[in-house]
Amino acid sequence: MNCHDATRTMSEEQERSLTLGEQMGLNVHLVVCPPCRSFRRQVAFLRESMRAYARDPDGDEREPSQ
Amino acid sequence: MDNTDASAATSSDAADALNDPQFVADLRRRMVRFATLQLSDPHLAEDAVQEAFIGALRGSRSFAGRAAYRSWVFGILRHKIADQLRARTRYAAAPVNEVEPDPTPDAFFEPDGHWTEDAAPADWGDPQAALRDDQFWRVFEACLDHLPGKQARVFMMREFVELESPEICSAVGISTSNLNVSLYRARLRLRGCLEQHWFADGVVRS
Repeated sequence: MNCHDATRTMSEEQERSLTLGEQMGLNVHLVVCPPCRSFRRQVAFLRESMRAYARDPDGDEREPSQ
Repeated sequence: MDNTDASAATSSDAADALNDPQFVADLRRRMVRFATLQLSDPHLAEDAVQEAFIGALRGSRSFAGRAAYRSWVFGILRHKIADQLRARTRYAAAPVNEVEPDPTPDAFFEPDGHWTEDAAPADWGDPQAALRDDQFWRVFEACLDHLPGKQARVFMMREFVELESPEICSAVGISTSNLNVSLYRARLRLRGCLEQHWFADGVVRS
């Protein structure tokens, strides 16, 4: 699995459960690839920030997160 | 009607917001833009926005201020859009299976599938801190605006309207794999845009 495959897999991880094979392939890649580890955290952050944005498009009422 | 003093005060805040033509016009414009992107039909978008405003008037809720009112009415609009899109899935045509051309992945990866030096994601540290920063949200909105049309549409359906993948596939008429490609490209672009315009300063390249 290279970075292109790994990032596609991590994007799909937001949509469905990965198969055992995909999880293993991904984990093997992530151990040796710091940029892809960053990507995984960032994709989760995108979802989190979109939800925050959806709740309040202007942020005026947004509570400081703990 | 047995309003206490407190609820009279909060509802007058909402009334005050609704009496400000600039506030209403600006809110309306943003809602129509969002609804049009989601529904691909200006008339249905206008209707949904109108219904959202009416729904907000009917709701016997008190508002702490303009921002709370805006969140409330935007929330109603999201539900209207989700209902529209779900209803539409019943009449969906056969999937057209087309992905708009987008060179993004090629620009981010070497031919062997590894990140290019410029595109490799950096460590963003504690990105949650950005959620409290008004300037971050302006950058975020600008990055969303820069997504290509179809990517923006399915990404917003997934992450903003919070529809499930099968609902989006029926509403847009695409296959699951095409949806996943569009979502993947939107995520690649969006994170790249945020890194370039917000997180690039002060982060360590990993």
